[in-house]
Amino acid sequence: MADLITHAAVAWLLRLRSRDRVAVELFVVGAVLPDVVSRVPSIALTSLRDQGLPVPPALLVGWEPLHMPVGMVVLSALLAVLFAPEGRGRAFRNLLGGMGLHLLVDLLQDHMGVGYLLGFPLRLPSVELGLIGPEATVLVVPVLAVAVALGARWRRRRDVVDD
Amino acid sequence: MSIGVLVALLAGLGGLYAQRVAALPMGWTQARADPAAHDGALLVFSLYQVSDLGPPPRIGKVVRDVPLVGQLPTLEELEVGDTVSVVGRFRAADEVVVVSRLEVHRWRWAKQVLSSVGLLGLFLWAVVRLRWRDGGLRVGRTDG
Repeated sequence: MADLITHAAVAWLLRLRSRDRVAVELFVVGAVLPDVVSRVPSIALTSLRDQGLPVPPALLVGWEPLHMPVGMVVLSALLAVLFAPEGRGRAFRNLLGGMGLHLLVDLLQDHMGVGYLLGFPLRLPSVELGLIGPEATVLVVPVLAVAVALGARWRRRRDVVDD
Repeated sequence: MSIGVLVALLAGLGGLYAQRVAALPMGWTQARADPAAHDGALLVFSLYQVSDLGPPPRIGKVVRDVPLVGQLPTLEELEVGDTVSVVGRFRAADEVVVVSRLEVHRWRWAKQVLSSVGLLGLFLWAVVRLRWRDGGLRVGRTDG
């Protein structure tokens, strides 16, 4: 996983030209959700286990499919169903699009061959491109911050001209 | 599709994944269960935490207390709590991992800080922007 700021910033920059603010917000949320729903519970439960609580092993690793394409589709559908009927299609498309982007960014990383099981539940090998280290995105964050600031300024000007 | 069906699908995927992990032919747990059959097996520990400096140093995550041996100079630079990735081979005689490659993730703390900020941002967004109105979630006041 890249850090969540990188995921959010890349997603926001990719949708910079969009005039649908809600769609952009949902896309950015989709881009951070895979780590939030898979890593956070796993880390929290592992910490509880380490403190002596009896946590079943399945609960430590069972969140992982939420970071895989099949889990992303089901999770996007589940979240979209919670939206008002007229907004479900937009919610599904943007949440899933953001999650897909999340996976693309993560695939760039090198985890010594422990990649991502894109084909789960099929028994296909894991995939990773291994182009950058797992912490490389930390060093990119300042550049992304400047890009987001410039993008926000451009967007404000565009909206003023439109009004 | 109903919420119940989708939740059941996610739970089923999680259960299936956990079952597959437990049944992996190669892994630390499997090697410990049958050391002789796994002597020399290649093991990869991605993003594990140093739990004890030893000797031998130990790492853990989902599996705990994996002892490492090897002549890598970075082993002497380790601190408890450091995040490391390790490639090594299982040695059945003393049930340790003989390290062939060890990478210390020095920027892990920065990544965790940035992710915590992102998590807080997501929470604030949900509180400020999400509303339950007219039978469903809406983003902001103008959505729908």
